[in-house]
Amino acid sequence: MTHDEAKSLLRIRDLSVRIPTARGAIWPLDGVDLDLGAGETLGLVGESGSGKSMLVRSIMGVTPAASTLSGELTFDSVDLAGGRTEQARGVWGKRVAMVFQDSMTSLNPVVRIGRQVSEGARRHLGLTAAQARERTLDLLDLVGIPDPRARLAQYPHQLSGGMRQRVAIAMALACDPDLLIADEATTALDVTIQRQILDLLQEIQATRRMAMIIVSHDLGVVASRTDRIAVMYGGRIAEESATGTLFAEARHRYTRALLGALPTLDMPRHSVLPTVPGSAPDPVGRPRACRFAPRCPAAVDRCRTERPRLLSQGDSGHRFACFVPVEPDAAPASAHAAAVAAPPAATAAAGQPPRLEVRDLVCRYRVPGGTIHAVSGISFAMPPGETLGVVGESGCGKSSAAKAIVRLQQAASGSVLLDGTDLLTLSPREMRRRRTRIQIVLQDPIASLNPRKTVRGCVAEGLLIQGVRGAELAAKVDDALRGVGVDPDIHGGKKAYQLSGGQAQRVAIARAMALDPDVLVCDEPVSALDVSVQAQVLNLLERLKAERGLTMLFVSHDLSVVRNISDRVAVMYLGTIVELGDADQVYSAPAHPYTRALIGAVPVPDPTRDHASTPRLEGQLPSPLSPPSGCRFRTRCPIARQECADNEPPLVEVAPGRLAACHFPLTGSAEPTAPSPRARVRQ
Amino acid sequence: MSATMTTGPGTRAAAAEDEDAPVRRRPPVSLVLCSAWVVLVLASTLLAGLLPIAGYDEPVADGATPPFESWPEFLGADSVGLSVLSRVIHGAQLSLAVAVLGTVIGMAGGVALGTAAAYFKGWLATVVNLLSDVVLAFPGLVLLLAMASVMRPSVWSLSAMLGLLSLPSSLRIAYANANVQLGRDYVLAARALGTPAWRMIVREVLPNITHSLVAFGFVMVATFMIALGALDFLGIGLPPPRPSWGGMIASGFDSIRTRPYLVFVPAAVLLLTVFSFNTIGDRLRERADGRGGHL
Repeated sequence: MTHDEAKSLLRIRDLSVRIPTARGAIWPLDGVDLDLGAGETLGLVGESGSGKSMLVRSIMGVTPAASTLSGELTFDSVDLAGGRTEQARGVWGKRVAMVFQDSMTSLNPVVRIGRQVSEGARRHLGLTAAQARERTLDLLDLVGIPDPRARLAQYPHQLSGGMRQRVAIAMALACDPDLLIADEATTALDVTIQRQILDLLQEIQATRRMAMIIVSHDLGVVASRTDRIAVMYGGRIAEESATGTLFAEARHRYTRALLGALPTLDMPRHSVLPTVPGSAPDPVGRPRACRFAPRCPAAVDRCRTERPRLLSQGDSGHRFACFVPVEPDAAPASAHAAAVAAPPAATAAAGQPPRLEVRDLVCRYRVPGGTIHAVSGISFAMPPGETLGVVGESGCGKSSAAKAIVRLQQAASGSVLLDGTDLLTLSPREMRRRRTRIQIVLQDPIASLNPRKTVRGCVAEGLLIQGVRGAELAAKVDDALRGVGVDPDIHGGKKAYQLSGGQAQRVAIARAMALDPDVLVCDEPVSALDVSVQAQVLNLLERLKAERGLTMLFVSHDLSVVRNISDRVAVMYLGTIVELGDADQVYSAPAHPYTRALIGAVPVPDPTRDHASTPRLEGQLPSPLSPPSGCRFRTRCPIARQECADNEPPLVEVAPGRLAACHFPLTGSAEPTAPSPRARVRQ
Repeated sequence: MSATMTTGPGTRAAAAEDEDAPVRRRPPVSLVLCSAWVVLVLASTLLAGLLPIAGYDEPVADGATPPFESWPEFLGADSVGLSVLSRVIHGAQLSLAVAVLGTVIGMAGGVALGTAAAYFKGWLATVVNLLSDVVLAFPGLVLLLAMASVMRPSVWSLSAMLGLLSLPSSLRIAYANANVQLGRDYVLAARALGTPAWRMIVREVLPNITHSLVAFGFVMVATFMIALGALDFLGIGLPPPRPSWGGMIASGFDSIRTRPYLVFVPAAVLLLTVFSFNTIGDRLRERADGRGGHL
């Protein structure tokens, strides 16, 4: 341990949490050792089921009712594992505070902002109402809420997600905590907002010198904002070290795999991502073995019969629990040495008629209070075999567009041409036939499978509708399942909830592929999956595309994922495409200020990254009920001028093959005053 | 926030390795007893003819006999010497038949209309919901009284009437549950496969709302049994000579001071049966809700 016991603010020894279930006791935490010094920032990283949330919930004293805690857990010598003692209650909420993932549910919806923030201060610090009000105003101001006085009387639902999270941070800071825990506090936010909140947390941590634990599934989030990182797997800490050390010379096989499975902005496109076979461990029981052994390529017999202890390497403070660690001089895990280029995708032949063409697609919804302009006239064309990535933040209309293209959502106007036939004007009967040509994969794999049906039943459904029966049906179903790497004999009879997320998404892909479509629309297909599983599914999609010559429309909020899988990229903002072009070009030299800000906000798993150097996008997404006049991005654009408010910039060619909707594009002539002659492009 | 943070910490305990065995969730005693009672009532009703007891219209004594004086008619006899046990068992036949049949009729209509309204929305949903509001606004008891006064109630007419009166309730349950399911992603995925309307309702939505509907069905049966008891008590239920629980309570009422068991035995049987159906229904609903949350 680098940290003296005396220096340690939070001290955890052999902490375990046990929850009895119908399948046997599960151990969300299984012998965790951890120390945190005052003023230190720790990143707690792990996939779902790793126990990272249970660990911070134990610290906050909010473990589930049926659970039992064992081991040692002290905060500044106060025992937090012994139930709700007087002393422990003096720590929770006052000296240790937490910011949760979902501010919509962690804030009380019927209590005004002012009261929610001041409540803690009044209870724990004994302030008067006037004092508490002053303090609340200070706090709201500190967390960057504009016009805090007006916010006091507002309710949570009147604020945007980013603003609510700021309020939650203000609440957490109300009693000047010594330790702030951010449990996936930015996961639900868009990248540009996430960047704002992470910067805010970092500033507050630095100025107040409090300790902080950032819990995240995303290595990029913690990379440059923490002193140390602990990687958890299966309820145990797999590896813990200084942040730089972890990224440069991770020793545990799981950490390596996790770093390798992450697509990054600087790796070659269409890289085959190194994957971790299998999925998260069964939480039942506490085996005397390495939890990662079943998925580990280097596992030896000892890994399966003995539990590796978390041991420190010399006095460096680098600890890992592995019998067969990676040699320290091996290539850095984050260098993606193992990534090799995928077989070249079917190159889009120029001059070939487009497979899928979208013209002036418009989607609107009526809601109480107005009309949401989800998609405001987007156009693009995809030659056969192309993968077009669509990125943008929530509310940009990417998902609405994807659903409108396959007619899961009513388009207000426009056309979707599949090999020249407009899908939007087909009769239901004709459309049903045409659905064999275009299919969709949705975001939440388990929810997208009927819980009452077996895996085989789910895959068979589309074929049944097309009139396939009998032996042919059974053969096609099994083929489709094998094609996505699901063994129909093992998993064919299971129900959706018996599958892991990755398996379920494979089944969902098999369901789409069983119809042998030409076009596959993927609406956030890996967003609900863990990193190690996400890589498996991305590789699968690349393989299917190469084998079947699929044309793929890939919608995602994750810029790294989109860049890796796409040939071209379309960037959307508030219902319009602001930039469209070759993926490498768009990412390396964005033409639209929004694209540049979006790429700059992506959390990068690189501890040396300097956040101050990239421009941060301020402000919130304007309401889609009444988008700004002219250029929709102008309210947040650093280079916006009067012209941007007056005229909506058309999507025009700014360089060969590059389209951007900006009066002052960043590439080519950087002079904002000398607009190049542009031709209005309508493909 | 701080209030919620300090609630429910796990208690410290020495974790013993042998505690890792699966926790068997035993069904609560009340559920076991209720299920047993329902099975007993159903079995004795269905097998009434095979039981070694007297017929419901065969006197077993000269007059009233208190319970526990003879076997197998251990519940005694009423004022004209008819076996209370036999009459309770035979009385259950009609009550159960009408209650179950009425439930099935009401649910069939309600589920068909409710799921269709949820799927097609638009004018169909408007009309269906309007009609159900109209039926709900009708005083059910008055309707039943009116019916009894113009025609001789039969098993079929009573069932049909109860089914009609309960149709809006099951319609709403089906409508609400189907609406929830129709918002789920698997329905979206099915639409992407081109699933036609009937197939969507029957193969995708219906299997996912069956749990809630069955749970509601049990509660409905219990409600109908009470309604029938009331009708029989008022003498406008199914006409004699077939016995009914409500009728037995009514005829025993005159002599409640001298022979209270003539009222209490059928009343207790009615209470236990209704209670059991309700308990089972609640339990099934909890499980259906739990499953829904888990998905």
